[in-house]
Amino acid sequence: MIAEKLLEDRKKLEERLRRLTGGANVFVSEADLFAMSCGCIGTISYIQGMQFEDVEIYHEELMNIIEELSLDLGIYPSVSYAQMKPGTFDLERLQAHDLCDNCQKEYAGVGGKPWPDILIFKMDNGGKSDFTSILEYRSSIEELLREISRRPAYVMQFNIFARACGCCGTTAVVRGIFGDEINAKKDMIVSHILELSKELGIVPTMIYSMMVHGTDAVAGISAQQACEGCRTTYEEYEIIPRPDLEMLYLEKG
Amino acid sequence: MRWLSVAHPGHMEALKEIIRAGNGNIYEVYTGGSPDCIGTARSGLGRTTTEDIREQVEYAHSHGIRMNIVINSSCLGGRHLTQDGHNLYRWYLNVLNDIGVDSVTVAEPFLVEMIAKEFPDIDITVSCIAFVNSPQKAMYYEELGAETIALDININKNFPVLQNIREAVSCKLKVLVNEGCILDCPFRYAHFNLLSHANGPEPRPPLKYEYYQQRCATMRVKHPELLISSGWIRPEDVKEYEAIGIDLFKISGRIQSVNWITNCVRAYSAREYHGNLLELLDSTRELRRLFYLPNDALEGAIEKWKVCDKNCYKCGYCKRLSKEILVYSGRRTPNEELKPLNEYLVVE
Repeated sequence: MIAEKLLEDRKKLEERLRRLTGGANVFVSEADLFAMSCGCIGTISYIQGMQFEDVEIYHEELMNIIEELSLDLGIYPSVSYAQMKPGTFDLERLQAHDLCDNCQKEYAGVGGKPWPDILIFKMDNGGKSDFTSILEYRSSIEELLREISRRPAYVMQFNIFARACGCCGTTAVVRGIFGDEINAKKDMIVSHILELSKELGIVPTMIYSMMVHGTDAVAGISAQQACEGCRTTYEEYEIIPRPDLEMLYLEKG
Repeated sequence: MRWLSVAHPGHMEALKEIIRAGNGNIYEVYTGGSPDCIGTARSGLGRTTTEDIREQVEYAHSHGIRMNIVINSSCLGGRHLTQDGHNLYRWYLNVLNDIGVDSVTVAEPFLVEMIAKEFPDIDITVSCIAFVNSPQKAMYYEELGAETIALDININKNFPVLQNIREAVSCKLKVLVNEGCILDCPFRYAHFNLLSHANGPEPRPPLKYEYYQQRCATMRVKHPELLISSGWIRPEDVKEYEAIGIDLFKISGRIQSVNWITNCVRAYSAREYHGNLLELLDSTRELRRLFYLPNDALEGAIEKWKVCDKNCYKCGYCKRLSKEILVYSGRRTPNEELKPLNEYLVVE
């Protein structure tokens, strides 16, 4: 199943980057598969402990590593690149996209530098990925939110995530919907997400909405299959991990 | 005559493409400098070094184009009023002066006055986030030393005020043509202050979630007419502004991709565009992937806006125009569709 594969791939990626950089303290905090509202799909790996110069030195190797990771997850990377933390020389993430037509135009040309803070490894035509059903998962949540809100609410990005601690799950980054609307149709949302999670091989222990800080606007809806450590914390101590989270579903024991 | 002031992300490859797309219409390009000295009110991307800027100034000059460095933090945290801060800014401006930068964009009145006095070779543009929205305010800044004033975007469609400002000052006036921010945005001051700290010297706030951007996107989904009433100027309507004496037209988008910027430059250079107007607006990418606002459907609306009293509650013109907006669904799936907005919105 895709979630299990993503958890394994995150770990493998971290090991490969450590080997590549000579045992440096590289940490891959999270690896994601994503589908965006524009139609792009891809992989993102959040990196700590690498610099711009590492990317320059290991350009070829990193390109191959990202390509292999993406292909393993069913994404053909029509563009792959390293993104620096804005205004710094720290590597923030390694990314691979199967680009939609609009983004293909934005990424193309300019000597491989469409933005100054990214370093493109490769670029060609997209549309060759296997795991395109991720777009339908994104779209299905969007349609549900539009039905609930009766406005063009949207899912900016739908992610399947695997964290270093062992948690995995999905997050829909949403705009245009409010907490009371979600709560009024909580059962409908939970049942849709549980169904979708099952297809991805995720057994959520909790489903929650993330609020825009201090407001009733919803920023995201996540389903999380908690790792043993996180599960113990959430369940035994009944801790809601952040004050901006509103729990929609919590499975105990 | 050169009349465009164009956003530049900061690397040489971008500059070459932008100048090529400008087809002789570009008056200046503007870009951020080092965030370690003075920040800007937009997200900074790469770290442009002094040497990078020097090379780019030479390249721009070789094409008859001026280079403007944007140091328009709306909040400097009081640093500018300390001796150390003043010395740091003086040092940085000396560096910019030495490498041939033509002008700087600033939002802080103290910097306008200081630069006018200490750096006579550097022209001063007052940033649109100094919110110059009246003849009086324009006169204050002109007296402090401004050569150019970028006007508050909230008066872009207020022709009587624009005309009054034109009559009151003799400096160059610039309007921002493609910012997608909402009209009279309640978050504008606070958002720019936040961005100024996030893109300025350390310590920077560790932002993971950005309230203002998230909230504003949600407001536009809830009230799509805000997409219409915002201060953008269609390429076809530039002539209306030239007719009242506006000198320069600023294309925003320093954090957009180079191809996106060159697409805007071509549209404004040609003074016509047939497509989704949101593709030209410097707002979050997801909005232009969500909504389709046909530019052709807005032909002639400028005549109404020229006499509009900006009382949206009573008027409803932009709300009626918002019926032209289409909404994307199911992108790149078998169910992909572009539906009329009223299929989603509750009739209120």
